[in-house]
Formats: sequence, structure tokens, C-alpha cells
Amino acid sequence: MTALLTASDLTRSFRAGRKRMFRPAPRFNAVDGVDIEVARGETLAIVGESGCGKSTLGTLLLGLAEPSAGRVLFDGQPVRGRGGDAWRRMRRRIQVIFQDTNGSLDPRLPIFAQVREPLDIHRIGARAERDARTRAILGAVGLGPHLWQHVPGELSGGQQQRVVIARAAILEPEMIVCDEPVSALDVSIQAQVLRLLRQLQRDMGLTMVFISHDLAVVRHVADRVAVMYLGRIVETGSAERVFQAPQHPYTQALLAAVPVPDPARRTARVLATGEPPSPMNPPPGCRFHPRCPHAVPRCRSEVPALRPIAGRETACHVAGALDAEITRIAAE
Amino acid sequence: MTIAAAPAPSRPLTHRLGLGGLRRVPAVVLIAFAVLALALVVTLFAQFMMPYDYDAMNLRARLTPPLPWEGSNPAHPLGTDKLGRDVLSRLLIATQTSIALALLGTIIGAVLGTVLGFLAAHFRGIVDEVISALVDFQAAMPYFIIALAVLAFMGNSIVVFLFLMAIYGWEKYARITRGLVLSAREEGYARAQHALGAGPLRTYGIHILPNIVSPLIVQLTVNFPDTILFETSLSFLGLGVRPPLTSLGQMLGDGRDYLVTAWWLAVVPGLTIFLVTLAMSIVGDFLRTHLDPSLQD
Amino acid sequence: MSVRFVIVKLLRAILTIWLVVTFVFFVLRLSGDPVAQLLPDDVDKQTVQFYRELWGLDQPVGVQYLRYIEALLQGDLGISFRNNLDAFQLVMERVPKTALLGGTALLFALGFGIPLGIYAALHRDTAIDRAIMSVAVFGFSLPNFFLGIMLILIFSLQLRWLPSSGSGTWWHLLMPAVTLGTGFGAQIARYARSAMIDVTNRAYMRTAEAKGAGQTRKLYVHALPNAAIPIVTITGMKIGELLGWAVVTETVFAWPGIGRLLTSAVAMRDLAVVQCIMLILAVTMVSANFIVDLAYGWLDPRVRAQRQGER
Ligand SMILES: Nc1ncnc2c1ncn2[C@@H]1O[C@H](COP(=O)(O)OP(=O)(O)OP(=O)(O)O)[C@@H](O)[C@H]1O
Ligand code: SF4
Ligand SMILES: [Mg+2]
Repeated sequence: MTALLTASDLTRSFRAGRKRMFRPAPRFNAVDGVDIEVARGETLAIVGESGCGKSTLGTLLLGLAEPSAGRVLFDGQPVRGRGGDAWRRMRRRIQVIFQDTNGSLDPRLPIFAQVREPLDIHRIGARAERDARTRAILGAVGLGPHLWQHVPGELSGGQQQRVVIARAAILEPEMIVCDEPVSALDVSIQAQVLRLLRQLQRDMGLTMVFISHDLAVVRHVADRVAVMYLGRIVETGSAERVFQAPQHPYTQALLAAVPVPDPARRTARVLATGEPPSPMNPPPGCRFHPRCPHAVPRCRSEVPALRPIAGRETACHVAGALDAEITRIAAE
Repeated sequence: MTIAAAPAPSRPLTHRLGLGGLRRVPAVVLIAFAVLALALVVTLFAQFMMPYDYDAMNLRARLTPPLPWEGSNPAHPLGTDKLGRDVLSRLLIATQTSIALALLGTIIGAVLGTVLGFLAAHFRGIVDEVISALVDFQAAMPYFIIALAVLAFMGNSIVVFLFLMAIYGWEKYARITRGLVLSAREEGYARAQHALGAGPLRTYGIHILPNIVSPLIVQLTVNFPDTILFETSLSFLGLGVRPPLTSLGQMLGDGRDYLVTAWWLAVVPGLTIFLVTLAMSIVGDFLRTHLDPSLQD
Repeated sequence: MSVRFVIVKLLRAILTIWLVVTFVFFVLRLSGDPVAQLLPDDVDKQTVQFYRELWGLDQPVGVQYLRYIEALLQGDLGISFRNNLDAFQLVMERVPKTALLGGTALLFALGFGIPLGIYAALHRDTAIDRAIMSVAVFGFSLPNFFLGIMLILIFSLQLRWLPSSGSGTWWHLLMPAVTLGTGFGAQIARYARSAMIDVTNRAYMRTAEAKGAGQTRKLYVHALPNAAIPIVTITGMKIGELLGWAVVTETVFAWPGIGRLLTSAVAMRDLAVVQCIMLILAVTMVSANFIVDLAYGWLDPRVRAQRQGER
């Protein structure tokens, strides 16, 4: 497996309050020491509750924000290329679909012009060729010519999202980071848009990072999954393994909250209780311990590291043992 | 044709300006628009419209009153002045001068202010501090009076005058633009541009400017009457436009000396200034309520 | 309101005055030699030189500037070139006249602007509201000098009721004050209306939640002081404009105030007098803004909270 994108020890801190005289503002890490690899052609899903730092991690992977620590390499090069040219070249290779679809389109420009714009920006091809490519991609995402001269406000949410996808895809990037690409859409339309994304991925051989809080959605698209909790990755591995047999208590809680079609497969409800604690003031030790049904004293003081358990990596002191325990009980 | 395959309607200007929901325009506003249109026509074509040369003297027809009054002469519908010059012809040229100056001044000021506002918002930091300080300074000094002194000392120069008019009011555009750009930059479409690899000039020019242009246009309509008054007041005081050139304020200032014998020499240009500023204010109010409700006083 | 807030505002005010004074000084020097303007054409070089030295105009501009600032700090505003009188005294003689005119105009403007604005707000969206607001648009579109001339034509020349120029009696004050106050009053009416509407909207919603409908009349009584905040602000901010228009009005009615002095001094290139007038106007305007800032910071708790938050 060759990693297309490698992020190591990524951290991004924000100010947590106002600056006081003679005192620096307190800071917190929205993303805290994250390591991630994405192989060419695969889809990595990043899942977690709202506010756990998914979007922040996304902008770091894209190179749209400077990490406070750590670095991101794309195909061996720093993703935040120095100088305008390197930056621009990198933008051609990595594209993004933002969380807020509606807001990421210019409200006053007809969509045709907006989809063509990346070609204008990167000066790809002559005018006629640009228009031809734009028509082609608009067709590919299923937007008919009668819509092309409309402004975004005159389109439905699903159509707007197709515009955003077309705009990201027209550059034929190698990788796309999708930040909650469908969470603003109706469930019925979600499926269509997801299908479109998968189809594009197949046709173009895209690598994808798919950020979502919705495990039902992630199931449809992910090859691999990274579960985030308060700025850290707590479990990561192949989608199949993680979804079939989650090892981290947080992952188990997340999955338990998702309605599963087959009730027989529904795990015992180990719902995490309580609100997620504030990232401004994370609990010591395992950050999940105040809500964890399996917490042991050690969890309060010692930070669990990611370690291989049952064919994926999990950051939990108890995880393997829990598994063994269950196996033992089941065997008895 | 680039989008030949797309039989979509082209977008009318009103729509792109956010006036799409506009149904009926009140009669007063239509009249005001008509007055402005007429003023614009005069500004463009005064030379072809005037019956006489505006400087041609006819000493035998001095101080002829305007039409319905006793002793008037249909050859001079608005009368003549102390040198027998046709008031209508002079009025046309004066209107042309006043409006052209005010337009130029307003536009230069608007461009200057908008650019500075963009710079302040783009660079932040020290650039922002300096520009904001200039804005405050501009707003806090008695500019009209300073301009008066400058003009008096710099002498009879249209360039200096135009320069002073352009400086008048720039800070309002700068302030508005800065605020709008700062918030527009946080909008998703601006961030998306960045992610697409677009440079700041492109993002500002193609995306942010069109999205913030409505309040700027409103400001333009608010500022334009002020600029006309700035010009006419200074010319009225004998400091702005001076003979042999003429402007509405200059005509009015001249006519003031003949109030007893020839009232029309002051009333005709005065009324014209009034009508133009009134029309502009009405249009400005109308645009303000329809383009940008948040900008209401 | 913190001490820091007051100090920052004060420093800003002083900086603005200094900038105005400096700006005016250099612009006036840049525009040629006032001695050549002032003396008849046929005087000999020696006389010219004598006056240049007398007024310090033979020095480099930088030196002149430093001397000027030094004198200024000692309260010496220079000597009028025209009649060798102390410039400051010359100007101060005129100040009461302008203050009288400006003060009366201001009272007139507030006196009809605020009640009309409030009345329109209370009858929002009725015919009377629209009528008042239309009159207001007329009012502030009416160029001050044109209004003055129309008043002279009607009341002095036609009806012969009022004197057209001078300042001898109270009758003399009437037309100039109306001329100067009308446009300003029209603007005040607009601001008063929207301030009132804004405040009642907010207050109404609050009480409507708290104790149901009713007691509307009482609301307006409570709303008034709140509506005063933006009105005070706008009045302070427009003082500079009012001063500008005062110059024009004084010219129209030959009112012997600072404005007239300025136009004549400017025509004569009387540097010291022009500079002195500028200084006094700048101080007036900046003080008005300063007072408004303080009043605003004091009256409006939101601003206060923000100021404290900023630190
Ligand atoms: N620019 C910023 N300044 C300060 N704090 C920030 C900033 N951006 C994000 N945060 C904080 O960082 C944390 C993570 O935010 P982020 O947007 O990455 O979460 P998320 O997982 O994407 O949530 P959601 O699912 O709601 O989009 C949050 O607590 C947020 O308040
Ligand atoms: S480390 Fe402890 S607290 Fe954290 S998830 Fe595992 S069991 Fe729960
Ligand atoms: Mg997010």
C-alpha cells in the first residue's frame, strides 16, 4: 500500500478565550497529535460527534490551515506548498467539498460560470475547451442545461451539492476531501448524491477523505474508518472490521446509536451517557473516561495509545481484554 | 456562443442587484428617475441643446425676464443676464459642469475609498490601523472649511477642485467596504475560492465585490447629492468653478447680486440644484429600502 | 466607562486637532507667497523683504512650522497680516455671532426635528408619517444658500417684513437661523423617527413578553431616553457639517461671524487669521465628537461592555 497522503502528529490549537493583559490567551487543541495515512484510490472516513475536530482536521489535510505541530505530505510533498505556484499546483491535485454547501457557492453567479471557474483559475485549456469540459462535467453530475444559467438560490439543495461536486471534480484532482457532503440534504437525496460521489470516484480513480458524523452514511462509502473523539483518533481500521466488531467503547456507543436493519445484529446498548466534555478542558487520561461504561481507574490517569487489536488499531486500555473477556464468557 | 446549449434566460440587471422582488415603482420615484435621466442627457449633450453660445453677449437684451413674465422674450425662455447672455444656455452648460464634476468626484472618491477598504480588510494589521486612522481623521475634521481655505490659496484650478471633491466622502466607502469585506471573507464562497487556488485579486474582483456592491451603490446615491452641494456651495462662494467657466453654484452666486432687479438669475440655477439633489435623494431612499434594508438610518 | 477609554479618546482628539493644524499650515504655505498677494504690485523689493522677515516668511517651511507650533503652545496665534491685530482676538470678536447663529439654528432644528420625528414614528406607516418624511426629504435636499436666497426674495424684497442682511436686531437672526437649521432639522427628524421605531420595537417586545399587551403609552415614555442616544450621537457628528453650512449662510445674509471673516481672510491670504479660525473650528468639532463619545459610552451599556471586553 502506497500512502498518497501522510499526516503525522498533526495538532491545531485555538485560542479558548480573550487575551488578558500580561497573560496569553488560554489555548486548546482542536486536533491533538493525529497520525493518518490515506492510500491512493481508497476512501477514508473520519467520524465523530459534532465539535470533535473533524472539520479542523480536514482543513489541515487540505493544507488550508497551518498546523500548530506536525506535517502533512501529499505524494511526498508538503501540502502547504511554499509560494503561489506550488500552492496553486497543489490545489489542482487536492480538492474539497465543504460542509456548508449553500455558502460555498457565490450567490450571484450562474452555476455554469462557477463550475468552469477552477479551469479559469488554473488557466486550463482555451475558452471553448473549458466550456466543453464544463458541459461534460455538469452532465456527469446530472445537471441539465436548463439549470446552467441559474444562480445557486434557484436550485434545490441536492442540485447545489451537485454543483459543488462538479466544481471540485472538474480539475480532475487526485484526492477530494468531503466534509459532511450530504448532511444538509434530505435522506432520499443523500443516497443519490452518495451514489454520484462513488461513481465519480470509480471513474476518476479518486482518493477520498470522507468526513461525517453519520455512520449510516459512512457505511456506504468508506474503505477505512478513523473514529475521532475530542481531537484524537481512538480507533482506526478497515470499515468492515470496525463496523462489524468495534473495539473501542466509544465506537461501540456510536454504532449502538445507529439504527441497524437487522435487530439480531444490534449489540447490547452500551450508549455513552452524558454530553461530550468541552474540548477546551479535556479530561486527563483517556478523554472518554467520564462517559465510558468500561472505565477502570487507570483510564483516569493514563492516556491510551493506539495499538493493534483484532486487526485494527484502538486506543483503549481495556479494549483487548474486554474482547478476551467477552470471548471467555461466551465460551463458558 | 459558449452556452449555446443552454436556452436559459439572461439575467436582468435588476435581478443581479437584488432588485428581483421589485414589483411596482412609486410615481414619485419614476419622476425622480426621469429628472436624473434628463440631467444626464444635459450633461452629455448640453453643447448640442443650447440655443446660444453660453458666453454670447447681447447687450441690447440685458436682464430679460423669463417667459410668462412681463417683458419676456420667447427667444430667451429663461431670460437673460446682466450681459444679455441667454440663461437657458448658461443653465445647460452649468448643469453639465456641476453634474460632471460631482459624478467624477463621487466616482473617484468611491473607487479610492473602496480600494482602501479592501486593502485594510485584506492586509489587516498595520495597514488596517493606518487606513482606519485616516478614516477617523477624515470624519473628524471640518473638511468643507478646510477645502474652502485650500481652494482659496491654491487658486483657480479645476484639478485641485476635483481632487478636493474626490477626497470628500471617500472615508464612508472605505468604512463600509472594510466591514463588508471582512465579513464576506468568512463566507463559504470566499473560502471555497481559496481552496480552489484562486488568488486574492480574483476572489475580490469576481466574487466579493459583486456581492457587496449594493450597499456601495446606496452609499453612492447618498453621497452624490452631498458632492453636488459641496461643489455648488464652494462655487457659490466664488471659490470652486470660476468664470469664464460656469456651474450651477457659480451662476447662483452671480445671480445673488441681482436679487432686486433680476430674481431669476438666482432662482433658476437654485431650483435646478434643488431638483437634482431632491431627485437623487428620492432615488437613494428608494434604492436603500430595496437594495439593503440593513442600511437604513 | 473606563479611564482608559477616556484617555484614548482624548489622545485621539488631540491628535486630530494637531493633524488639522499641520495640514492647514502646510497647504497654506504651499500655495505661494502671501506677501506678494498682499502688497500692491509696485512696492520695491526692500519692502517685500521687510514684511517677509517681519512675518517670518523668509525662513524654511520646517522652521516656520516649528516656530508656529511653539507659539501655539504658548497661546500665541499670530498677528493678522492685514491690520496687525492679534489674530486670536480678531477671531474671538466674531465667535459670539457665529455661536448665536449656530446655537439658534441648532435649537430650531432640534425643536422641530425631534417632535416631528417622534410623531411620525408613533404614527408609523400612516399618511401623516409619509407626509412628514416627504417634507424631511425636501428639507435636506434644499441647498442652504438657495433657501436663504428664496427667503430673502420673499420676506425681504417682496413682503418687506425682514431685513436681508446684518445682525443688529433679533429680526436679523430669524432668516439665517431658519436657513441654517432647516436641512439639519430634516435630518434630525429622520434619525429621531428611526431611533424611536427601533427603541419601541425592542421595548415593546420585551414588555409584551413580560406582562402581555397594554400600557403602550407608558412604553413611549420609557423609550424616549433610549431614543435620545442616537439623536445625540448624530447631532455631535454633524456639528462639523453645520459649521460648514454656517460659513455659507453667513455669506448669504452678510452675518458678521467667523464664516464671513474666513471668506475675507482667505481672499486676503491672511495666514494667521485663517489658521486661527481653522484651529478654533477643529477644536469645536473635535470637542463635540469627544463629548458625544463620552456621552455615548456612558449612556449605552452595550458600548461600555464592548469596551471592557476589548481589553
Ligand atoms: N477558528 C476557530 N477558532 C476557535 N475555535 C475553533 C475554530 N474552529 C473550530 N474551533 C473549535 O474547535 C473544535 C472543533 O471544531 P470542528 O469544526 O473541527 O468540529 P467538527 O468535528 O467539524 O464539528 P461539526 O460536526 O459540528 O462540524 C470546536 O470546539 C470548535 O469550537
Ligand atoms: S481507555 Fe478506559 S475510559 Fe477510555 S475508552 Fe478505554 S475503557 Fe473507556
Ligand atoms: Mg465540521
